[in-house]
Amino acid sequence: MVRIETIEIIGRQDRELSEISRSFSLGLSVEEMRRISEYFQREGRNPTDAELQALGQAWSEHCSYKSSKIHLKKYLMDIGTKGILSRGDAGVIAIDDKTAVAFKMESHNHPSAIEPYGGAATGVGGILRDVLSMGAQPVALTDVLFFGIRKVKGFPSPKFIEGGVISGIRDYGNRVGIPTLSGGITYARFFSPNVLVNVGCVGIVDRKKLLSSSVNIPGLKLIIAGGKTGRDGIHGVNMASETITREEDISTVQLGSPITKEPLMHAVLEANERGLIYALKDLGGGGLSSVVGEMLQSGGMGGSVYLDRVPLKVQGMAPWEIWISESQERMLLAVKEENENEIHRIMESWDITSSTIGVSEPGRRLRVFYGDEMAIDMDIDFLTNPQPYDRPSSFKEKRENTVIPKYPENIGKVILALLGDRNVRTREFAVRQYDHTVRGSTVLGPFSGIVGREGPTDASVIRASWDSYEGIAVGHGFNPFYSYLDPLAGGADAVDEAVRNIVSVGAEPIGFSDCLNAGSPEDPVVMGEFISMLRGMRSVAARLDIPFASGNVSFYNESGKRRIPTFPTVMAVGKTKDIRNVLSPDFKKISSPIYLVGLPTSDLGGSLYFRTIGVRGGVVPVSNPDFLSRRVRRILDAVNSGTVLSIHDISDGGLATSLGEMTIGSGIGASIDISPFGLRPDFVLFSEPTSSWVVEVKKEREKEFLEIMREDAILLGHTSADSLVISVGDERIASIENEAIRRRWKGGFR
Amino acid sequence: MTKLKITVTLKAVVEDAEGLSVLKALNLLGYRDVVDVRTGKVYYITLKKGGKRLGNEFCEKLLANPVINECVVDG
Repeated sequence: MVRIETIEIIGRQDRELSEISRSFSLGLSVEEMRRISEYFQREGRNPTDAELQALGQAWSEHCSYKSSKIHLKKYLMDIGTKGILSRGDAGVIAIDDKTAVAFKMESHNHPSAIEPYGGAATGVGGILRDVLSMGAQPVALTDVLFFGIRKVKGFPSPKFIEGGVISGIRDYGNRVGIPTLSGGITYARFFSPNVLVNVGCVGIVDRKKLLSSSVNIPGLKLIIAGGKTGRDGIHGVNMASETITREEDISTVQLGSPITKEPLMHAVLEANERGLIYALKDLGGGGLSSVVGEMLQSGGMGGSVYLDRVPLKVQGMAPWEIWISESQERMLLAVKEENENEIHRIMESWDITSSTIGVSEPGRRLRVFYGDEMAIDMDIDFLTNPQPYDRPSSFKEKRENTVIPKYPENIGKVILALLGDRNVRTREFAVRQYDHTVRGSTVLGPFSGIVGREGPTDASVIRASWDSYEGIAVGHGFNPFYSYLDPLAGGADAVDEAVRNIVSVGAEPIGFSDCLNAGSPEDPVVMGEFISMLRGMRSVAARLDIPFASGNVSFYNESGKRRIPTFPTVMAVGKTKDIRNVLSPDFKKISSPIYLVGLPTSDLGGSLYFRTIGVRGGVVPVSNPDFLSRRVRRILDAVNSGTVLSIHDISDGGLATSLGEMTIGSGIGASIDISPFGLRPDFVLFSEPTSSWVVEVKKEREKEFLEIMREDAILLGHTSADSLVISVGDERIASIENEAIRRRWKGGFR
Repeated sequence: MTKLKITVTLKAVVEDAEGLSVLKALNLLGYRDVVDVRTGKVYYITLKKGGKRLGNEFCEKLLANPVINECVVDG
C-alpha cells in the first residue's frame, strides 16, 4: 500500500500556496511556500507530502528560532563563551578539571495550556532528555510556573490548569526518580489563558564522556531507542508557533511515560560510560524530521533513513506521520557499525525497544524511504535552514511617572498582607508533592529550618559527586510584573535575581539558561519588547561575564487580545567548593547583628506593595551591574571567611518580607531600626531594590565582616527572641509575633 | 432512582502505560496468549432524577479529560 502522495505546488498562485500550507497544517507563510516551490522547480519535480511536512517542522519558529536567532546572537550568545564546553541540547560548563554540569531551561507552554497534565509531564520528560543528550546524568529538575487568575471563556479554568500542571510534574518527576528541587509559582492576570510552564534540568557529566549531537563521519548507524512512535504529538511545533485559538484535539499533545524514560536513561548512560555512542540527540519538537536533519547537517553529512524500521504504537501510520511524530521518550543514537549490536543488547537488557533505522553517508542529501518508496530526497542545507527573519520592531516611549501613595496607617498589617499574598506565601501545597530528596544528594532543598515549620530557601544545592564536597546550586530569576511595565528592567532584574539567589546559598554563579516567553513576533511591539528584554539581560550578564549556555524562546503566547508580558525566566547554576558551608535563610542565633547589603529605593513600580495597595505604574528599579558585581564578590568573600550565619535576598515584598521569611524557619525574631535610610518607612520596608540581601552575621566576627563588605553593608539591628520589631529611631512602627508571621505565610492557601 | 454506569477509558491512540505494565506482567507469568491490555475506570452513579444526559455532563465537566479520554454512559 502506497501512502506517499505528491503535492503539486510548482507554478501555483500565492493564494493556492497558502491554502496548501493551511490544509496540511504546515504553518508556513506564502513567502516560505514560494521558496519551497522554487526549490522543487530546480529539482524538477513536485514535493511529496512527507517533504512538505518535514519543511513545515524544520522551518517552524519552535525548531528554527527564525524570528529570534539574529537577536539572540547579537545580545546573548557572545557573553563569557570561554567557560562553555558545549552548546548542544543543553549547555555544558566545567566545574573542575574532571566534572562538568549540563543544564537547560525550556518552556512547555502551549501543550500545557491545552492538556495541563500531559503537557507539563512531557515538559519534564523533554528537558530530561536534553540533558541526557549530552551524556550527562540528570540530578535535578526545576519548574517555574505562571498561572492565570480568571477563567477565560472557551478555555479551561485556571484552577483546572494549575491542578493538572502540578500533578503532571509530580507524577512524571517522582516516577522517573530525579528530584524536583527548585522553581516558582506566580499568579497574575496576564496568564489567563496563556499559562506558562518553564521546566529546567541539571545534570552532571564526566568531561571525557561529554557527547555531541553532530554526525560528522559516514557509515554511522542511526538507532532509535525508547518509546514507540505513534500519532500523538503530530504538529506540536506548528502549534507552538501559532497563537492558541481553541481547545485542540489529541494529535498535537504528546503523552509521556516516565516508566519508559527511567530505564532509557540508565541504558543510554551505560552505553555512554562504555564509550559506545558516537553522537546522541533526543527526539522532541519536530520528531525524527528535526533530529535527523540537525544531526546530519551539523556534521556536514547526508544520510538515508528507512521509516518502515521505526517501531510503531499503532499500525497504519503514513510515512509523513512517522517522520514528524513527536511521540515521547525517544532518543536517536549514532554509533559505529562495530558497536551496533552491543547497543541493541544493552537496550534489550533494560527492556527498551531499539531499532537501526538509517545510516550516515557522504554528501548533502537526505533520503528517506518507506520500503522501496522514496518519501524524501532533499538537500539537507535547504531543509534545515529557513530564512531568518529580522522582523520589524517598535519601541514604546517609556512613561516615567513617579507615584507617591498615601502612607499606610498600619505597617504591621501591610507586612502580614504581603507575607500572605498569593505570590509570596508558601508553595508547600505544590512542592511537598514533589520528591526533592530522591537520589540522596540533595544538600539544601526548597525549604529549610526546623522540621515541620520550615521557611523558604533562595536556591537549592545538590552534591556534585560522592568523591568530593563540591556542590551545585540552582536558582531562578523572573519578574513578569516588572517586565510588563518595563521589559528592559524586567530582563536585567531577572538575571540579577537569579544571581542573588545563587549567592544567597554561598555559591558562585557560573552559568545561565534562559527561557524567553513572549507574544507573537509578528507584532512589532512584541519584537521591540523582546529586544529591550535581551538588552536588559545582556547588561547584567556581560558585566558579570557569566554565559547563557542554553535556553529556548517561546513566542505566540497570546490568544485574542490577551498576551503575556515579554519576560525571561532565568535559571542560574552555581558551584560551591564545600557543601558543608552552604547557607540557608532562616535566622540561626539570637542577638546576632543583621545587615542590609544594598539600598532601599523609592522606585516601587511593579512591586508587590504597589500591586497590593492598588497603585498602577511607577518606576521599575533597574539593576546596576557594577553594584551587583561588587556585592557578589564581597558577599562570597564574607561567606568563605565564615563570618555569615544566614542570608536571604530581597525580592517580592521587599525588606520586610525578607525579614519575615527569615524568622519562619527557626522561630528567631529580629529587631531593626530603619532610621539610617532617611526614606519613608514604607519605601524602606517594601521597595524591592535589586542586588540586595539581608545578612545575619556572627557577632564575634562582625568586624571582619565589615572589613570585607565595606560600604556595602548597613547595620539594621539584631536577631531577637520571638517577634519582628521595626522601629524608626525611638518610635516602634510595627511589632509582629513570629507565630503570626508563620501562620500567615503558611496558612490559608486557597 | 436511576443508576448510571460511566466508563472512562483512554482513547485508542493514547498509550496506556498501566495496561502495558499489566500486559508485560501477564506475559512474564507465562500467559503468552495475552497480546493487549487496556485499562479504564468505572463509576456507578445513582440519581434521584434525570438520566444519561446528566451522565454525559458529568463526563464533560469532571470525570473525563476530553483530550485523552473516551467516556461511555450506560443507564
